[in-house]
Amino acid sequence: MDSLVELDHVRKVYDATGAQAALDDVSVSIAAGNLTAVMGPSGSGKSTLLNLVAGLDRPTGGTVRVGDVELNRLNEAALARYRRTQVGLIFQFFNLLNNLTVLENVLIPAQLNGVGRSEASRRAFELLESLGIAQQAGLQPARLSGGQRQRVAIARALINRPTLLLADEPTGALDTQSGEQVIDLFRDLCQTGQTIVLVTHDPRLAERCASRIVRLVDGAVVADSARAEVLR
Amino acid sequence: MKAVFTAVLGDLRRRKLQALVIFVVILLSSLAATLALNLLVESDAPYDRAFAAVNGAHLSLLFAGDKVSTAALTSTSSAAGVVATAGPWPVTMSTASIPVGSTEVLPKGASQNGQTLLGFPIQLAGRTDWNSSVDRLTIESGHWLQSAGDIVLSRDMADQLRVSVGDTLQIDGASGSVPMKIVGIAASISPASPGAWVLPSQIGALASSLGAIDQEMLYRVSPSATDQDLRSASQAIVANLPPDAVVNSANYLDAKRTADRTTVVMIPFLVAFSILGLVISVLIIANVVSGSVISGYREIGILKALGMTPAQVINVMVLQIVLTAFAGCLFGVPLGALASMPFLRDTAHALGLPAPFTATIPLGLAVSGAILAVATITAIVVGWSAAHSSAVDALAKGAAPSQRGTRLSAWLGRVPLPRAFGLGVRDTFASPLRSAMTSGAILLGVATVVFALGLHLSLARIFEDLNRGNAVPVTVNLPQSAPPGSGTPGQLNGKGGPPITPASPAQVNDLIETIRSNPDTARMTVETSIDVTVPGIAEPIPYYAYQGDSSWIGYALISGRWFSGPGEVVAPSALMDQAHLKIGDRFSAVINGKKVLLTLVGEILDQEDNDLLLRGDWTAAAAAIPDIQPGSIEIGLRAGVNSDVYAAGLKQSMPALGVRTADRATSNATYILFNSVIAGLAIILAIIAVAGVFNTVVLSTRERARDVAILKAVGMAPGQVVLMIVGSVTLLGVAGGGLAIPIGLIFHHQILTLMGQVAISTRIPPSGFDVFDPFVLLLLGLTGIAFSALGAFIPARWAASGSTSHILHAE
Repeated sequence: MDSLVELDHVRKVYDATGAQAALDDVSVSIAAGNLTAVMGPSGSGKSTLLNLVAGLDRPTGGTVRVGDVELNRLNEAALARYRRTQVGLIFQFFNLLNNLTVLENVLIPAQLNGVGRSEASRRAFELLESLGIAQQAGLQPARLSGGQRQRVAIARALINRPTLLLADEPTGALDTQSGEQVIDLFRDLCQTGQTIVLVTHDPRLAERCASRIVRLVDGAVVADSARAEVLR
Repeated sequence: MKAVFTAVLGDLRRRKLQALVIFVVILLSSLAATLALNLLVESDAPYDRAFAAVNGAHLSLLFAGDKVSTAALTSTSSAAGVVATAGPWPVTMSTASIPVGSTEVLPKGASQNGQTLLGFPIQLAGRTDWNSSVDRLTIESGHWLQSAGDIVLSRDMADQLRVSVGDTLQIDGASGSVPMKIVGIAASISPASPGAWVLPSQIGALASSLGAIDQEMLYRVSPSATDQDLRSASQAIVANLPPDAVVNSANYLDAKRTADRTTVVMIPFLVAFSILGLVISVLIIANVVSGSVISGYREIGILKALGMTPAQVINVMVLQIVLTAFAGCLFGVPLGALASMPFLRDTAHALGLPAPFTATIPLGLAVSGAILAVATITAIVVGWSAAHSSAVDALAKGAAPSQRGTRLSAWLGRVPLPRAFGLGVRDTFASPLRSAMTSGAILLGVATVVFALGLHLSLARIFEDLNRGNAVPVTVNLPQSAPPGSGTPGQLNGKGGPPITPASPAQVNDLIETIRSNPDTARMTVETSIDVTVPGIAEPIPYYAYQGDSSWIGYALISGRWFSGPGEVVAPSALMDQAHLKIGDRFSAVINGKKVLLTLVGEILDQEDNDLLLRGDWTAAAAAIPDIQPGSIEIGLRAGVNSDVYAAGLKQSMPALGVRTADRATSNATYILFNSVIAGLAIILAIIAVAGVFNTVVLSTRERARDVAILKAVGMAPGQVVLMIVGSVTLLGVAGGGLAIPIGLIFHHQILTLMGQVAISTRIPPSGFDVFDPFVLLLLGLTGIAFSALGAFIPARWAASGSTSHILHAE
């Protein structure tokens, strides 16, 4: 199967001395159409890996390639274009804009991408409908439950039909019931052939959705296996 | 207390950018306040203070050298009323030649001949000491005379000749040209001061063949407040001298009146700029301080959780602000004092005073104290509730993202705009108080620009009007049958023109006809001046009578019309006010002992003769004085004729004429001074307004860092981030700019009216107010957007280029 995401000997250090690497010589290849879970303890480099694939951060060494695009070579404007056309991002704490309504939050990436308001609205309502939160379209995020907010974030991530969906602890801030609902959503998305990279602590999420699990410890890949192997 | 200092220093270290913004805003505010107040303080009777500082002379008398001895002159120091004297000093008239290459422009009154400029008249005084008890000279550059061959020029003469220290002047003495090295430029405040000083021993060699060597004496007298006091003192001084001993006399009151007139014109707009500057400063300081305190709520919560009392918390906040503000004042006040020096120097120059150097320590302390007080009070008021709330509340208030979901912002969100820009626009009123203060700063900044530009345009028009719009490029002073003893050779015409010589009426008529028949003469009117007594005015005033059509001679009408028939007159505002006349009034005046009925038909802008004069038809004057003689001719030229060439031609063909060409208004030192002060203050206030926007955007982007990071994460490009943040203050710019136009225009109208009425006793012609094209006003309104965009751009770029990943992963 063709790989969509390629990390080749990636290294990322944050401190000036370079003594402590958040990622150290990480090489991972992620195939299209699968859900890959990245797991590991706190500080293992999971979020750093996700940020590099999202183009939110740049590696100190090595290359990050998504499709035909080598992210290292892109300037900030091109990275922004990459994020709004190729990637959908979902965060643990939702990161919705509190001054906008649910609908407006979902519309923003499409509008930034130059999609007309009517077309973007139609797509947004479709997504909100499918995620069961169309009734809340006119509300502000502060009026929603955690699970509803995360569904708004998922709708926002999907509005531009991204090639790659990146999720950072999407159930981390949710109660059990809401978490279950989100897990179901990811499973549904996976069945549509959406490529997803998921950073999570949640074994339920990994076990029920992931076709592959990459384990990181101290910035290095310590295990990389198909779900079946993990489950065994 | 140690805990408070530790917290203060820790906060300052952590919030460097915010501290820097406060520092810069306070620096600019204190700079502007110091500059404006310094000018205001220095504008308070500068002549009197300069005069007192150098012990200026109340009277300057020039005695004929062959009529009175040095001993006799020395003995005048004991005359009644005389309290101090300087002199006698030998004085003579000579001419100076300077190489062409050392000047940019041919000095007026000089003629060009090959490689040198010849015949520039210069009065030389022989003086050994600059630091005399009366009239202490101010050496502005170079040094005082040290040896023969040295010359110190007066500043006016140096300006006229466009020479400086180190240049050489050729003085044309009776026995040949003498090279004199300019070793210094000095200023004297005393009346009728000479053009240059040399050692007394050189005067003889430097006197021209026609120049007599006279003796100058300077006197300080008491009392000296009025013209009458000075007349009495003069009479006492010359009482024991031969009757024709005095060649010339001058008193300090004339110079003082001229200086005071310029000064008093400046005060209204300096006050206006000071008020604008101070209000903008207060707004911005309050904005920056309140923003700083509000953004520190979380720290306040932590400090309270650690056990600090409300008083200690307030101390921390106030100390943070005061330390930064103090640093701002420490730089801003001296910079303001320094920035005011060129303006003060220009003021001194325009007033003909020695350059001032004033220590502004009390003023600086006052400015610093006021700014620190504003900052402290704002910090206490804004921080009071946080300091007295519970630690949990303060923490929650500091950590909770603002909701910003107002109905107004939702409505703004529906305005069809590019998405990134629209997102910014809907955030305009997220913090209403801050938005109001920012808009207020923009408003005052733009109002200042409107006011300053209006004042500049109005002054240009008024100076042009006072110069009569160059409608009369050439004026000819006609020769007169001067009464015996009324003047000396070289005496100037009453209107400050070149020398005149006597001639018969027939000769005068021939001259008039010759000028009329000159093909380059487009039009001309013959003028003369006689005394007229007007009811309500104590002293006789000049009546300027005109022969032929004079409606073109360029006096700007304030109201009514130019005279067009017998007995009709026009007058300046001051005369109308003092004589209680209004347009249409008929009144009896007395000319040459005869009653004449006059009708006032127009009010004109006219600053001659202390604003007390009448201009009218020749008939009324001729009726009272049958043998009235023409005094001068005002000449308009055909298109394309050069006035200097025309004047030179007249002078060549008719040497008896005194010919002068019009001055250009823009070369007037007072006009240049006004413009430089207006431009300087307007630029500084505009910078402060932009700094206010900068501060607001820095605070807003810090508060909105998470929102910006989210938007960048979902694909907002750096350019779109900049557009959004600029959009968040654009509406404030539009509102501030829009409101600023009427406010600026009101300021402009009121201050101009005040400058005219209070300062120069005149109303202003309508054209003086009507200086703005509607298109220019529209552009000025857009200045508000420019201010907001300028102020927002840098913090917007910072936000666009800032890291996002760590913000997105933090709750």
